[in-house]
Amino acid sequence: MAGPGQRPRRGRFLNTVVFRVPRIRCGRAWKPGRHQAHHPGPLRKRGRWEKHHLHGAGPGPAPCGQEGERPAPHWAEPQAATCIPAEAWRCPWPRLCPSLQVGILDVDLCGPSIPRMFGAQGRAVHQCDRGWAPVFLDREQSISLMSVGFLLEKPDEAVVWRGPKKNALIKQFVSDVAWGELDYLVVDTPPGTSDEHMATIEALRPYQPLGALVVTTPQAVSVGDVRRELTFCRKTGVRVMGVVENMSGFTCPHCTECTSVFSRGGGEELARLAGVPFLGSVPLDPELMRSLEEGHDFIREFPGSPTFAALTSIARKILDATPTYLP
Amino acid sequence: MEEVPHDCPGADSAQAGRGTSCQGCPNQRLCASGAGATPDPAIEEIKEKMKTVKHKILVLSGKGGVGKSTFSAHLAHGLAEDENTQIALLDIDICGPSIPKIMGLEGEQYVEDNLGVMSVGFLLSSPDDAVIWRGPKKNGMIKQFLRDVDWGEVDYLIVDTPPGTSDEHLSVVQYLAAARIDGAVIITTPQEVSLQDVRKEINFCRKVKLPIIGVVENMSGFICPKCKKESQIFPPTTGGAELMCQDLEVPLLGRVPLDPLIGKNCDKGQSFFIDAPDSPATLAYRSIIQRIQEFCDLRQSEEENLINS
Repeated sequence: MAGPGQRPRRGRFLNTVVFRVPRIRCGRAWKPGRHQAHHPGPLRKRGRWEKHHLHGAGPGPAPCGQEGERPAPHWAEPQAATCIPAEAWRCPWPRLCPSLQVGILDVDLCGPSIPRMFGAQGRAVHQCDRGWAPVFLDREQSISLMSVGFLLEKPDEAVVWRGPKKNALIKQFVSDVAWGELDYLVVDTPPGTSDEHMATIEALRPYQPLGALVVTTPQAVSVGDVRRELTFCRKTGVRVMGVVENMSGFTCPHCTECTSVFSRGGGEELARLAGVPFLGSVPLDPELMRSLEEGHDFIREFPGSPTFAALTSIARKILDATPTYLP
Repeated sequence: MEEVPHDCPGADSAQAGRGTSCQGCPNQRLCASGAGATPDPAIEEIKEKMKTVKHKILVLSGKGGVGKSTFSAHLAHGLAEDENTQIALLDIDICGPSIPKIMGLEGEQYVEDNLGVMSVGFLLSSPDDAVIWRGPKKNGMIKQFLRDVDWGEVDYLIVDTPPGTSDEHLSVVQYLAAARIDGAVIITTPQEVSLQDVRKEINFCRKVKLPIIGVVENMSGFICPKCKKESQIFPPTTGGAELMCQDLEVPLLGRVPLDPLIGKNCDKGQSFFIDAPDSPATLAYRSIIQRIQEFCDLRQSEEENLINS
């Protein structure tokens, strides 16, 4: 696997992807006591950042330290191309809890959409003393991103890799990225139950993930695939935090008639069959699509929309379900 | 099929059998002897098997959820309307095999007399069974599908792939390399998020010398059933597939609008063409299918001219 500056082997169908990661001084500001705004009790002492900060992925307060119970990252399984949930889920969190530090890890190596959705395409990943510095979205560094999209020389370069190479990069994303102090790490995965998913779970297992957020559309065809995803979670010992139904109905802007474009009811039915919580439905919203396309902050621009309400409600449920941090 | 080490350098790499991660692997001696670097004999076997298959079409997409399986199924339905044409639909999406459901099959492999389907979905005992396989195991299954399935005399073999540019795509291109693939149809939605992955897919096709039949823009506009006005649910913020096709000099085969009946029919496992023969989506599909047939016929006549000259 090519590390920074190293050239990978050229195979028959492998393109040469050279990751040039310039070296800079990593200037991450540490903010002692930041979490105490949300948590009245003393926090568990943080040791090396690698071990203690890659956990608690999901909206909510800082991760817990209950005995025998550890927080864990969670990831969403996008079932539809058109709206990747990572953006949707991260949207409400900084608004609900402005001092949260959230990292988004994009392990969809073949189709990395996170950079575009956050308006961060063309940004570079730099190497610092502690590893690869993630891409920060704001001065407060409340949201940090990592995606293979930042490492490609050309945006249209195809990442044509077999499993072992993908596994190696995902491991690096978890262990070699200087995530710093994070409350949550949200991992956006491609569809399926394959190399990327297994590599992500293996890499995150030492940090005991909080759980998985599983996304479906209402159609039976989508639910049919997501049932297998739930089995995957069960077999790999990952708790399912809940099911979210995306693309749930479209309200015509001309006549306000609501149409179930992709059928209806699949998400609730799936959650009921699997015995997991149904967290909510997100409607089809062209304004959300446009915001994702253009990398704008949908939450800030459309706080009155039904989609905002849906996203916030789901985020709130996850917040409420996250174990609290105990002394 | 055994699992390979997590850091397997690959059977055809220079480090095959020699790397530290190869220690303990049951295939270490085989790889170290250089056997992995020799061409897979299965490629020749597949070439023989594929001699009875006239046209092979791959359906690709960069992004998931754009309607690839739906398109593959309806391409198969559309081609199979001619009773004299034998159609085969192969689903190599090992982790998410949705073709059996879309085609309305419960353990049966034949939808109609002239339309046969193969999918790993038929091999699973329960709809909840998950296929949690790494790349090499998936490749083995794809090899079996191509080599060991008795396809018979087939006019069109449609291969539905998972999204992306990964093991499955490399394998199917590799195994069918000697058998000549007619081309790939790439599905997208109008959004830039989807198009940016389609550009990667087009680059992949060019890299592996896979001809591109064209791009289909799916979910392109929605006609409200009540007021009949059009809305763009997935707005083409960067010009949609049309502009991308112009830039990359790839044909745009057509645009398929969103029709709620498509989803409903897929869920029921029926052909949308039967339920809504006059829908704009049906007309769009039929036009695209015709263009694909014309491309295949043209390629065939070009090859025949080449052989005869």
